[in-house]
Amino acid sequence: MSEQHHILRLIAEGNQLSFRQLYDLYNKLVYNTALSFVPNVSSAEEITQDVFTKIYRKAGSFKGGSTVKTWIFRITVNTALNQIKKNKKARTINLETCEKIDFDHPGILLENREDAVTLQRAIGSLPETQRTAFVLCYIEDLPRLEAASIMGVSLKAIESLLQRAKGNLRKKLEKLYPHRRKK
Amino acid sequence: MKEEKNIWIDSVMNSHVGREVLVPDSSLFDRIILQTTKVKTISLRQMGMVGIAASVLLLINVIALQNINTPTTWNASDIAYENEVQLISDYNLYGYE
Repeated sequence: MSEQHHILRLIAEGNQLSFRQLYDLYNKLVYNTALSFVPNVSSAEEITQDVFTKIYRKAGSFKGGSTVKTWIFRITVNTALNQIKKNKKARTINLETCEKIDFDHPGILLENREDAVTLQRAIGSLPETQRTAFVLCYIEDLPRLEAASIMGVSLKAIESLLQRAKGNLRKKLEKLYPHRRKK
Repeated sequence: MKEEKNIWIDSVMNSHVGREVLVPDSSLFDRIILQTTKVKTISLRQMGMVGIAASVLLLINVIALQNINTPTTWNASDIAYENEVQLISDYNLYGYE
């Protein structure tokens, strides 16, 4: 049993010190992944809060089939996707009309901000699996194998999803090209 | 024109490069602890809805049971039909006793 698996066992027994230890290890990973899916500080904090609450409640159900990091990544991705669905119900984003999206990512360089908003808008219109693969491999810069393990698909499937995601993004950006703001 | 478009697309696709790794608000852990210790409560409205649904189900079941237990009343035409059937079945078509 790995050390982190042991920490999870202690959390399942209600040990808050171990929970703090796990939080210190993974809060940046969860928060920044959440920001990649939902580029908004308050939503990312909400997702982080939900993820760690789930970890606390489900620590005992971790069987060790994957690494603790992969397990936490998986919970983060699922929680972020659910949050996006919830937000979409509240308002729909229209790609062509260039409707403003709720973008508040303080980590993005100022000179890239405009482009990052456009990219986020385009990513938002991708199907869920393509979006997840793109965010994990290109934005989070995870190895393909790890992304495949998080998504529960084969390496070949990840490659195919990435190809399609990139192709679709380029098509969507081509449509947005006339609406761009010239620098 | 086409090249300009591709340059723009590439710059958009790489706009996340060089982003800073952020740290969540320091109060977040306390909020998480608060949420984990929160006991889930069922509102009065939810309880009321469950009560109404249970009552409706019970009522439907009572009505169904009453209908099953009610004895069938025969009218004259039913009796005539019954006799007719009986009459037909009394024919010894194949010569057996």
